[in-house]
Amino acid sequence: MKKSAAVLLMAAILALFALALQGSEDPYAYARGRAPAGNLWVLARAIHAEARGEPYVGQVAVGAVIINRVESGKFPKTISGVIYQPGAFTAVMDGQINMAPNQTSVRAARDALNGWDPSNGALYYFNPVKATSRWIWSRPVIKRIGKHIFLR
Amino acid sequence: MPPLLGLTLALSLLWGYGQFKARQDLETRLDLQYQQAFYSLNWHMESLQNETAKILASNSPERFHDSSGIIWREANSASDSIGQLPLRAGSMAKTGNFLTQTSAFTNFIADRKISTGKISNSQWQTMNKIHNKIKSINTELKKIQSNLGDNSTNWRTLESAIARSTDQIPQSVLYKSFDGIEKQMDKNKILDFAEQFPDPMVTPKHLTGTKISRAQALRIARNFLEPSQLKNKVVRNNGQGNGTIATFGVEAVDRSVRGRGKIHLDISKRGGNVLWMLNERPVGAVSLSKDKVEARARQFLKRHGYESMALTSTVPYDGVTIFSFVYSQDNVLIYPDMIKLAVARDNGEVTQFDAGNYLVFHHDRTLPKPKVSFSQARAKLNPHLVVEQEKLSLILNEERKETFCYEFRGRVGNENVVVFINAETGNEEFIQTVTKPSENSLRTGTFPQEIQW
Repeated sequence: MKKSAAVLLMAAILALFALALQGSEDPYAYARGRAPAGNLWVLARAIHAEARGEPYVGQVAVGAVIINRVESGKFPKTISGVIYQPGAFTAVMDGQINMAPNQTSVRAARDALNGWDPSNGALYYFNPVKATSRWIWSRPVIKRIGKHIFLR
Repeated sequence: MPPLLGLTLALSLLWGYGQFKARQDLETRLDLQYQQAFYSLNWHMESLQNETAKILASNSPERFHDSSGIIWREANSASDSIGQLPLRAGSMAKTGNFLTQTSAFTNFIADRKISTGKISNSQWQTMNKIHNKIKSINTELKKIQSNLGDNSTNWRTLESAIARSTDQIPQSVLYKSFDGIEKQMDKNKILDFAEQFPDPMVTPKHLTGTKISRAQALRIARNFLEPSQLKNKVVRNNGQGNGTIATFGVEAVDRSVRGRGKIHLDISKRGGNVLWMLNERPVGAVSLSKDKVEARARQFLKRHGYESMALTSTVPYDGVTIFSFVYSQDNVLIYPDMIKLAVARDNGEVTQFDAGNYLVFHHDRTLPKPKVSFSQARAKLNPHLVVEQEKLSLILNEERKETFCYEFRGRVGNENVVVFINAETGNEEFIQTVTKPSENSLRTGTFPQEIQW
């Protein structure tokens, strides 16, 4: 009785160990070469949090909105300042930004940093199905990409 | 049984109380952070009021120079502090803009004072208006300070009021006070520097041609793409855009597998130019050399009618290479007229294209003759700079004016830099540090110069 219990316990510990190894995915695995530092990483996280279900062009557009805000002079002047501005992005506020980004989000962040802007200069965006505030509808609309409407 | 139940109840209550205390603790800490941001804002705004007063009173270029540096720093910090308050993002946009333009304007008159010894009366008046506006903001902030503290006007109630609210103005005394400051920005427009300090979002002045129809947009998209890209694809309208350049959207999608292999294009309504194109297909393994890929990029530009383009930047990553080309006129690089494209290194296809800068800035120019010679310009350089290449180029300076320059690419210490010397005045106009291709640079917004290394 004691011996089989010990074996069972060992098996259980090994199984847990194997499970733990699987769960600890290296988030930097998606970066080619050295881990990307600074702006790229936080931008990729924000894109992943906000737009991971969206078409690729929509993800780049979300990144572009963040960068447009940085350059506009009307918002915080750093990428992290824009992303972490209280209340600015719901998926940041509820902690989804803590998820590891996937390869697509990193690519989208790179493209946004290199100047691609499918939103044609937007400073705001929202999902009309999820949005509860009426005030955002008052801003001039630029276009729609996937689930998001982009505004000036 | 009852004792066990009683024990469970007591333990639960204990746990509940522990949770309550922990939450209160966190709430306090969060509230403290917002308080700090608010008081920082007060500090920086008072600093600004002080420094702008000094500029109004001073007659010395050194004072202008020192104060403009302090004003820049304090305006930046004030802007940062606003960004840490739990207000709606963008609800203080005009105030943020005012702070940005205050720094820019102060810098501008400091330059004038240093180079000419004086500023005009209207410039002094503008500075005075800026100072008074800052003073009125400070008065409002002090009122807010004295109202803070009781239960209806603290930062956490502000935050929940905003989160709950669907209206333009949430029900919060604190919010209304800040909104009051923001609305004051519209009254007596002080800084109207459309010519000198334009909104970073550019308005295209050179987009010419007739307005096209949706059907024409589809045709233009079909002609733009390669036959191989169009195989098995349906080309259809995809809405329109009212951004900086008004556009028709077009997409090419797989006929059989819907949603796969999308190619997006935005085509300008005026003139029917392709503003940008993005092919979402995944890129395969690298099989083409760098030279072959560069050749494909050049062929692409020629085929689409972009003549006389010079390569200024090459950035390889993730199986594509991004090229920046600028218009070259009489051997002068015209940086504002820039086109970017990405070429996939698996089959040489151009997967991304962006002609936004070119469409906005390109126009017929007569280039002036340089008033300063190459050797005179070289003599102005820092002796530590090791020059490796020199050219003539046209860039946008800090006031968004087209400036004719000598560009010297070289090394200083461990950095690669490009120094632009004004070809008419000999002044050092602009310096750009060059990032190596493996790092990622923020696009250069108001200075669309991207330099190759």
